Amino acid sequence: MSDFDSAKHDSFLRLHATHEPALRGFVRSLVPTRNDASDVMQEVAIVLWRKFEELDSPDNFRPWAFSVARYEVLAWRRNKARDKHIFSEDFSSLLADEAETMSHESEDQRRALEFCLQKLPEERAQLMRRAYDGETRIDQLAAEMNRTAMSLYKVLHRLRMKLVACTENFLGKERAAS
Amino acid sequence: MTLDESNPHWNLVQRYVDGIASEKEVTALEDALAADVEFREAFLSYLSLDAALEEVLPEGDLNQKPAVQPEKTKLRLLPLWGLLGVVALLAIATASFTERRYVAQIGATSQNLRWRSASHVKGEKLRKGTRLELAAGDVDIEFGTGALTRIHGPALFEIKSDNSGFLSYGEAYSLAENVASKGFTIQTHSGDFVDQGTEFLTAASPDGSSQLHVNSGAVDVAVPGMEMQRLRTGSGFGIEPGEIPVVVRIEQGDETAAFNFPTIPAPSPFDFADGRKGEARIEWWPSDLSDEENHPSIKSGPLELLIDGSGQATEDSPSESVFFQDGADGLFLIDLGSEISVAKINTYSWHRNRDDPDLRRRAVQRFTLWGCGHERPSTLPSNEESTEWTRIARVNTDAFFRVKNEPDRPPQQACSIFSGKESLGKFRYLLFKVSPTPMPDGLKPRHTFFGEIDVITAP
Repeated sequence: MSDFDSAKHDSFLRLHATHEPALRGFVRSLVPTRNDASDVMQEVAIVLWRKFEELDSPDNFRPWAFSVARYEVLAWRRNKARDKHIFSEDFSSLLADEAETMSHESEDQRRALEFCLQKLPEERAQLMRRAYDGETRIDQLAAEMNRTAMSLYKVLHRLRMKLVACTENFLGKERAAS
Repeated sequence: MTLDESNPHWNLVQRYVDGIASEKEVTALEDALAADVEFREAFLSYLSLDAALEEVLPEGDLNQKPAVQPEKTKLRLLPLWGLLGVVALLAIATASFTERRYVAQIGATSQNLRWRSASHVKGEKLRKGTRLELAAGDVDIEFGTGALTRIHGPALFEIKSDNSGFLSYGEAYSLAENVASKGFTIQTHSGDFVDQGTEFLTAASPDGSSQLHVNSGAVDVAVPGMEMQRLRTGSGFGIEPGEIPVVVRIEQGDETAAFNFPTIPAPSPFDFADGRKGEARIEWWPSDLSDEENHPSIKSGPLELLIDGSGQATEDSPSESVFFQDGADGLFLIDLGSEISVAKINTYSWHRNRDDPDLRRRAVQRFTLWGCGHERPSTLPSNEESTEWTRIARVNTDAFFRVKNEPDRPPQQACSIFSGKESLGKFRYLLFKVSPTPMPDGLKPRHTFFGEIDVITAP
């Protein structure tokens, strides 16, 4: 690899790593499931690298990456054109605008989330780890716990609701203190 | 709208996020969100948190394992991309394996590769759960442990971890040589194939059956309800799905009259179907009207040779073998005399052309085996839902041995059919529908030189 390519490679990795969590949150807001978000994010990473030379300044990486992500979500939607389990295109566009605005708070939310997860009882935290490890299917996990998948979905939903409330409370206090 | 669990709209959010919402529910959720800016804000926070949980919650230990080392593999035969591809590979591969969630990446691809669903490109990082569906062609998957699998389409393959994948259908040729990749596993609907330092090929059919061939080293096969089976170089293994999974183990012999195989015992005079005991009989069966009828060849030995307790004495001995006339499928029936619990059925063949040692077409075993425990059936099994007959196994040893050229084909072969339970089932009649081996243009397909069939009963 030439010095130029090496520098470009390092620059890309640095910028991508910095903005990836916000991008992921943005994409996640626009597709129904985590797997869908993963699929889109794969495409986004590839397109960003392929077109990286078109970026005029590293300062513009974030808005540029969000525009690429928005386009890739649209492309994903087109592939799902017959799927009635996704939002309409107009409504998705509205959500995308608002999600991009909210994405500026993603780093704060992540920090708050780390705090809130520590507050969870260990058995609940363990359940969340299993549910989000990418390997365990919910129906398998439910079977292990002698529950139905539906009841486990609801337990996880309640935990997420509690975590959202906790992170908002945490960030509210931070804002009040500053 | 605040975060109020009792509000029915949050129930819709939960169902939408978990991917179980109906079309009506998605529409209702969209209407509710469109009408309420606060609800939208809370909804976006909820989804943003869902994405962050993936990042924040601790995961496995991929980072503790070595990254992919494609340069060391033997499968790097496909055309490389240009400089951009290499740089992209480096960039995205580095990114992928410094993040814990990515467990594999796309390696080399063949020129005729066609994706059936979402397309992927060389260097693309892959998460657990990523499904790759190929319409045609080949793609290499480089796993985080260094294991490499070439998927041959049409195929559906899912990444399960940095050292395993699930083959729903298609073929997967795997190479797992380093220490980190020991235990590399290809899962299928009917069983798991666990590498112990080797090259092996797995094939899975949409009907749930799967096959394994070990090119070198050893592979452990895990079938539900069955003790782990270890296969070594040159061995093949097939699994038929069903309430009782049926396993077909195929091995090549030492090409002597002793019929020595790695694990399958030599032809036995002590099995239940030995003709001298007087219990079992064997007879030719006519075909039905839909098939061309085929009789044993006039050069064949009598059918009773198949239940006489021994195989052939030499490699090209028609009179000591049982084989049908060239051309159509042939049928023979073993009547065990009474309904018995059958634990295992072993079949043996041997052929190497005396004038051209590379020709071993009559060593191939291609047959479908059916069983029946009722009164003697009057009709042939016509389909898998046959009420009289139970299909026990389908065998094609050429598929196991990956025969592409004549010398690839072992001259002496044994096939052992058994199950994870004590018994394959209770049968009185065993019907073999034998298919011939295709020949070059203009020549009729040739039939196998079978030497022996052993039926072992369950306690």
